Amino acid sequence: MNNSHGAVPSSFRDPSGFVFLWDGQLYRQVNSSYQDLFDLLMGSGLYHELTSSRLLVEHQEVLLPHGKQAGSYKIIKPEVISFLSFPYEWCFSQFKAAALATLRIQEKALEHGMVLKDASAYNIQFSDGRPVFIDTLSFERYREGEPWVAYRQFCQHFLAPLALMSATDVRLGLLLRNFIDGIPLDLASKLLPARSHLKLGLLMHIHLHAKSQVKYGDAHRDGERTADKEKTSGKVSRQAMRGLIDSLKSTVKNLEWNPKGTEWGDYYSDTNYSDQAMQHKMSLVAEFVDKAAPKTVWDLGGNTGVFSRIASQRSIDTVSFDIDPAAVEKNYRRLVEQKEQNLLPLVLDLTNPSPAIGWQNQERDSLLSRGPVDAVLALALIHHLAISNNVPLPKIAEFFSKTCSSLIIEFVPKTDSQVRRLLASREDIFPQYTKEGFEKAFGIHFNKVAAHPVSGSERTLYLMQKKQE
Amino acid sequence: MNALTFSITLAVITLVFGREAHAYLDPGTGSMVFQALIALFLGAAATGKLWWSKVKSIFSKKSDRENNE
Repeated sequence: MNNSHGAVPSSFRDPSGFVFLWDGQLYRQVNSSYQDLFDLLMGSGLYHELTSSRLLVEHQEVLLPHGKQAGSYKIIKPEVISFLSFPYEWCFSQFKAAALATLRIQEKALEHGMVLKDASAYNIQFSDGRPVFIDTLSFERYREGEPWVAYRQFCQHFLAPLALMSATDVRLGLLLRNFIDGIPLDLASKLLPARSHLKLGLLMHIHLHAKSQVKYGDAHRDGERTADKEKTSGKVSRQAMRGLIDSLKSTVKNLEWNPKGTEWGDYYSDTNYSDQAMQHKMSLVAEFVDKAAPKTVWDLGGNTGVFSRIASQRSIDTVSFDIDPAAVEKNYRRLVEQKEQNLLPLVLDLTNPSPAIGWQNQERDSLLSRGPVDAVLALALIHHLAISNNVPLPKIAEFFSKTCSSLIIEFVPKTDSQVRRLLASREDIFPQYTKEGFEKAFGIHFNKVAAHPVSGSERTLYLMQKKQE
Repeated sequence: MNALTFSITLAVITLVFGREAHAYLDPGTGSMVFQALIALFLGAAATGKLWWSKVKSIFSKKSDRENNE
């Protein structure tokens, strides 16, 4: 986002308030209409319980110089998330954790007489590897007998994608890029394998739920709406509500996906790196990271995050991107197990990164507009872009110049066995792909600060600094 | 309509519309109907689970007592 003042383009649907930027800082306005509910959230103990278990972002109440606007009750300054990520970028376990966090929040809310009024996956962000709810105004008063209005949204945003990733194909999480309000249940129902009907949770919350939507939902004929309203005022008791949340929770918990058999999952056992070369490369990368001293790092093509951790373990905010869901999954599982901080693994196809989507293509930022960062690690990557994907070196250099100030990049020459493997089944149409060609292309945008061959390999590791404009 | 009735009516209307203004999400008519349909089943399941864990805890306490005697 370039504006340092102004409403955030994705924050416009909720009449309770909205998020805006002032002087480059993020704030949330609580509208007067939401006053009672906000006070209930704070006074009932729910806010305290959720923030102390790291389920909800904390906030401070603030006063802004332009004073109180009409219709505004309070201005709060929420805790900042260092990198915004979106559900179509999450690996399976991140998604599952986000779903379970949402349900746990709903459970705790019920204990304090409140409910979530929406269950969008965009309400969750990741902070130090853990899912955290960012929409403080998402709470509504619980009224006995009322159904959960967010049930549909939970099933479409969380349950359907998770079920599809688990039972059909892990890549189906990407469908969320196209369906901004979650995967339609009739589509999910069609794509799930027949045996999913044998799981009670999926049978109920996806298959039968989908049929119910078709039967009752979309006929906006005159009079029919009123009739349906009477049907829906059939009670959902508190116990039934608990049962619903419980059922969703166990359905989600029982969805599993284990990374195996995707192309890059076993990468590090399949590389041409000897232990010596690996050790040397790691110490070189560490040296270059220390030299560049970035505050933020993107590791592009980071695989399971071995090199990302060089940065994150130096308390540098690091995002570790890879195209392979299995690698990202392994990365994330290790992060959770070791309780690591400053690291966010995400799924990304660099040749087709997340676009800007939503209303006016402004609700969810494209990947590139969530940058630039201080430093990018581009290790064992360039040959995939230049050779496998036919992107000319000058274009690759231009891309990096827009993405970072410091660049730690590994040049992988044609004599390298991995590149020979890539060229084995195709014509070599890359006369410019040489060390000289590489240095020339990057020299347009970057100054070479350091260059070091990686011992035990044919590769060279560079530290580059973007030229001042 | 006297003053009391009027203010009660007003309160009810505010509550109804106030509520609707906050729950801005389209819940989906079919989803609401479906939820009401499965409500009884889910409520019974939740109660059953609670009952079963109580039964289990009674029996585990009993066996502890028996072992200690």
